[in-house]
Amino acid sequence: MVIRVENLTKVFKQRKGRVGILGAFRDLGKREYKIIKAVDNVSFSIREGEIVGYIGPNGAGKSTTMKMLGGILVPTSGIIEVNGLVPHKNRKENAKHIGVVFGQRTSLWWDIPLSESFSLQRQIYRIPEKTYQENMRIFSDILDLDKLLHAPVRQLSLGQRMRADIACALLHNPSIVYLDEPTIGLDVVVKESIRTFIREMNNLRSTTVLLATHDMSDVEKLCSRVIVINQGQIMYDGSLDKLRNTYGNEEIIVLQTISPEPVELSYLKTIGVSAIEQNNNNISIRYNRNNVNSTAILGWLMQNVKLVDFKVKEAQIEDMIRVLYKGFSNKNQISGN
Amino acid sequence: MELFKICLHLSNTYLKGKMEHRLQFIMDPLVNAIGYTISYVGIWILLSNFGTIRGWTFWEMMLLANLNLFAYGFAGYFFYVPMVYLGTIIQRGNFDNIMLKPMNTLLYLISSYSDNMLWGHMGLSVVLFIFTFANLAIEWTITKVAFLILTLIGAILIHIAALLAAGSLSFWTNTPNSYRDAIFQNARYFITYPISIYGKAIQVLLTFVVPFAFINFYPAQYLLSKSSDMLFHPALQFGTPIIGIVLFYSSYRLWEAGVNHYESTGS
Amino acid sequence: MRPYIEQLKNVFKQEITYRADSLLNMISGILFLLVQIYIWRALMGATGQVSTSAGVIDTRDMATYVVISSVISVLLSTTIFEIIDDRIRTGQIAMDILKPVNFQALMFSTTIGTVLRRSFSELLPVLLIGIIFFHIKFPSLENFLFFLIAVSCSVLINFFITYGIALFAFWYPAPSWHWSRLYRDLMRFLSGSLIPLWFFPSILVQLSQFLPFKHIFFTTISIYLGRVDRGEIVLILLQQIFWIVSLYGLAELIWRQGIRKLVIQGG
Repeated sequence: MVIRVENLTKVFKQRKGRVGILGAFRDLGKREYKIIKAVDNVSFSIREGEIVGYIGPNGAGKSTTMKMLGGILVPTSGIIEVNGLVPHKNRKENAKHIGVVFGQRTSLWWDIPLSESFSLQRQIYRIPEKTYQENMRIFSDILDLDKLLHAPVRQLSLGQRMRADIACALLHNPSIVYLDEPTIGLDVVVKESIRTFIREMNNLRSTTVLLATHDMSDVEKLCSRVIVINQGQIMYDGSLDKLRNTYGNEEIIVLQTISPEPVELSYLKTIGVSAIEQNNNNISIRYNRNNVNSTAILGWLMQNVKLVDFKVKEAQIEDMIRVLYKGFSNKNQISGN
Repeated sequence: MELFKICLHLSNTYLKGKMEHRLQFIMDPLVNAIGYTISYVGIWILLSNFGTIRGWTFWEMMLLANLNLFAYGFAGYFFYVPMVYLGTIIQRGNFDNIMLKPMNTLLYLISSYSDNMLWGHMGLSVVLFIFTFANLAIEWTITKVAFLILTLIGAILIHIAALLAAGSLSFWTNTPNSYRDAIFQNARYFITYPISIYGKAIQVLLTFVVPFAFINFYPAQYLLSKSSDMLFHPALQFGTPIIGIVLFYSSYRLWEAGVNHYESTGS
Repeated sequence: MRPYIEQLKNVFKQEITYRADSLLNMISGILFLLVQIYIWRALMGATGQVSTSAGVIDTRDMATYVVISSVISVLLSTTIFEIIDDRIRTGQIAMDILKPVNFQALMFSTTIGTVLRRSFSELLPVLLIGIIFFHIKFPSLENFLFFLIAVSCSVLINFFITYGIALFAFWYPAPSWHWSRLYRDLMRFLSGSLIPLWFFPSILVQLSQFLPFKHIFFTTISIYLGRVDRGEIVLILLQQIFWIVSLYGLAELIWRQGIRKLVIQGG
């Protein structure tokens, strides 16, 4: 186990401002606090070489967990071990063996050419020359960095910068990489090249990857295992397939008709559709794909309704979590490995 | 050694970024240097009218002013920008980035933000030292030279301590640095003049509460053999290095407490 | 008239937000005052007086000089350097010239708002301390009235210079603090705000004849101290008016040039 987390909890105290003018005066003295459990009794273990998706909506506790794993946030209680070390107690040692990429901001140096950022990174992490050269060659290859090396980071587009950031984070062959929303805002081509890169590194160096995201395609393409976190608690920890099969079965077909007249769709209910909503031209059809598949529905629609356009929307992560959460309040934590 | 090279590299990177704006790069230190020069011309005018101030001649005054200027310039070169802008650095999330590096956080900070703005202070003070020592009849012995070096180190440490303390408060509060630095800013101004001109209360404050008088006044007394102006105890003349170390150590502990607080509350 | 009064009121209302700022400025102002008075007392030594071209000056005179100088300093407060720099840099100035409001007048009401705000928190305490602790002298009614006129002229002269310099932002590709700081340092020196012109070497006295700066502090304070007879007062006031008109014209010229550049180059 390279990462071991047991009963990890992080509690924040948020200052609550009292209401009204009298409240403001009372606030000058003793203040009221709201207790926020950002991470609530979380436990999981990750083996070397795993690529794990850490899924959850915004504010679920993903970044908080990662900060604790990185050693820059002290847990309130619980056990946390990375490569056998407690991160916040061994910040520098832990830092030597991890790489971190934040989606929203860069770790690179803004005003200098990219090649110099790499050079600086090499110095700070004391990367041996041979490793450095080898990695630069491989990274430039997969991520197509050669054309970018001379440019200062501020001139790079988001996609270029993200490729550079990821290369930089892996330059020193860290055993673990934490990726916090790395593909946010990127186009499909760049996303694909980054995913390829991560897969390659995982193959070559058995790099363990913890990928925090709420982009399902990232997870599908990369992760064998997912941990779902919501409101600080783990909802699911297991294989992706089982997650889909158990919770990701609700789909929606959205279509546009030529005329806004109401359409007779009761037939669909007989083949297993659970809900239909019609709003002028726009119709949405909700169904469980275990009961009926999109082909059957679309087949009937195309023969019986004058369509302009349609779209099949797969289950979104938020929907799965909603389902998970409903189930969670009834049963205990579900594990599917 | 390797660590030093890293710091140098970081510092060069920052300066290279600043050099892109050439006019600003030159004007930043120049404006500072001009400002200080004007104030020293003012002192010259005063003393050419009155001769001395409490027994201190112009060049003796310049030694006082210059000890302060040099120490502040040197300390500020490393600590001014990172401490004053720490709040912004934290806000932008860059502090997290720094903490994720396998390196001492403070060292990384001061290397990454060593600002050339302070070269004006340093350059001017070097020139002034040359003129000042040329015009003062100090009998230079090995002891006195060693004393001067230790004094400068101590003075620099005192200024660093002040900057570090004010900056560390960023971990607990959002108030602008000008508020946190206010006491020190005033103290810096007070010690430009020999503290013997002030009332007893101020002398006590500047010796025992905010011991800035150790930056220049007490060491200058020794260098200039000005025992006639003894305020408290003659031993104070030699206090600068010790005060410097003690204050720096205290501020560093405050810094560490600040970082701990940051790690617990996550900003 | 309405928009300018509004602006004035707005800036004044911000006093609530600036409470801590004002407190610190007040304390710094008082400490600054203290240092000045101590310096003059130390300079004038045992005799407590010195003879100058304007007669014999004693420590009470200098205390008065310093206090009135502080008072005038507060009256000169302005934020327009930052405001104008920001507006030009962000391009917002283009919007400002489209509005049916005279930009210069707007900046003036902003300045007056700032002055009024700071007068309460910074000027009054300094004045009170001067009266109670340092027994500053009071002028005759006639001199006081002339003083009030002269002070108004001081404020206007400073405003037009400040406004003109702030407009350099149209051409200067670096932060405005360079110019505002250079102006502040130079002006405070040449205007006699810290050192009365009686003590200046003759070259500088001659130089200051051709510059408007001495009318911001020195001549105004001289009127207060009664060190100039009525004939000279009238002469001073005429000179002040001359400068006001000339500087207003100069500022207009710079503004027109700036707008031309903006319109042609697009800012």
